[in-house]
Amino acid sequence: MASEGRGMQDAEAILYSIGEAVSEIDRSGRIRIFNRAAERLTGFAAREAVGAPFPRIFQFFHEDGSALHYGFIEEVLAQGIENVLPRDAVLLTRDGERVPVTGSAAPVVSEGQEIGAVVVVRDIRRERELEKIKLEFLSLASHQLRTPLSGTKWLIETLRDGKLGALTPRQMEYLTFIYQSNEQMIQLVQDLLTLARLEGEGHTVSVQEFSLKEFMEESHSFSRSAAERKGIVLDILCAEEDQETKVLSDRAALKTIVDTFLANAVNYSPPGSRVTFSGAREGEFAVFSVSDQGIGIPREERPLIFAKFYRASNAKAMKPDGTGLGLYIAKFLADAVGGVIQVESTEGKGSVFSLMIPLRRRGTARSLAAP
Amino acid sequence: MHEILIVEDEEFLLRALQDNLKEEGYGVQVARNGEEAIAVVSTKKPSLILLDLLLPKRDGFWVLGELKKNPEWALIPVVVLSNLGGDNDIKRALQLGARDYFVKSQHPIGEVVEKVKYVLEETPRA
Repeated sequence: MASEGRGMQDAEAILYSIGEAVSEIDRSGRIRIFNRAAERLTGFAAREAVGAPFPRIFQFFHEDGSALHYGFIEEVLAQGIENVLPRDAVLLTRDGERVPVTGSAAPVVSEGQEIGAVVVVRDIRRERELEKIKLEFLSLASHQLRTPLSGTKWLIETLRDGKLGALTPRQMEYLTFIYQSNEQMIQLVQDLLTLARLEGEGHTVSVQEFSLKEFMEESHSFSRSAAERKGIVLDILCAEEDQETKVLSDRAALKTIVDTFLANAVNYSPPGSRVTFSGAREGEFAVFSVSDQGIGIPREERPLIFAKFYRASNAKAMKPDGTGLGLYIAKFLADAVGGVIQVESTEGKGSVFSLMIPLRRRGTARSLAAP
Repeated sequence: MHEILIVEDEEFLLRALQDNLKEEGYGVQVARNGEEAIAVVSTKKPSLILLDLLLPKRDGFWVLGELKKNPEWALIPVVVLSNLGGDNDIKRALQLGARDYFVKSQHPIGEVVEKVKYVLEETPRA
């Protein structure tokens, strides 16, 4: 039909003109279609590429130069599945340049038959550049913000501790508000900086050995004073036989995760309630749990609590100044150390946050930045 | 009396440190950049140095390097107070001989004063 013929021509013209590199590869692995954006990206002309085996034209690696651990295009041709490139993929161009890219490969199906694969690749150099500028800015801004904040902190502390003379109770009350407000700002800056670092570089896991007991005592002493100030009892529970269990993992990352659980438990629990911090060995895993008798998480909001900047509605009402970054960072770090976070919660009754990690994490690895 | 040298270019941080250390009975000397710091050390060797890292002219890393070069000065304990919180900055300062490293916004000033007391008690008097 004439209109269908026209449609096909249009489709082909669109394919050639589209801004992303598009290529079709036939079942034998030879390139059939190679559009203009593909020419620009790879440095190969269509007349060189068409008919060539695809591995000559499309060479993908990880950013660090290592080979992809799966056949990005091969699997599509062999198994008819869809594939995407890993987050840190680079394409080696004809000139030997490594260009950061995203992309997907999918089977081409015609009349029920798989006749090849279509590959779409996008140059993300500009996005990467913008991301880098954003992170540099954030990191610099965080550092610059800390200086006046630490000045305010130290000056208030000097005044509050009576170094410049006694204050009236009302003056003291106001000063305490100012101090708390400043501490919130410091925490926000700290979280933003952590976030910038994690999202920019990923988390470099650094492994050391320690016992369950020493790790738990460190976190416990860190959170105890905040709990005491609020009139909350913070219990620590670890069975005698588990106390000397050795863990080989990223201690600093684990501490950040557990400290987040403990801080949340204290922040979102009423005075006079109890928070229990327990640690146990379960086979080849260590499990740290923090349970509280606090406000809990509304059921419908539970899937959202690990999202960046998300704060549950009842949490916002109780403590308007949180950053919404704590659990996001905790989840990120848990993934990096091979751990799993579990949450049980009943609104109005309390929550239990658990972290399960392998007792022995081998070697050091660099986790990828979060999607 | 112990003399503490504070190297800090932010006036309000300087003031808070000065007031708190004087209150504890320490003598306080002040420098607002790296060159001034070394000039002060050359004139009158302090018992301890509180050192900021980002400073005008010569920075805190340079000061650490200069102190290390001179055997007379190499044993002066240095506590770094900086808002540079990166792992690399901390590692570099400790490798250059800093005794301790505080990210200012993360520590109450009382802890800094306690640190000063502790380090001075530990260090044999020259």
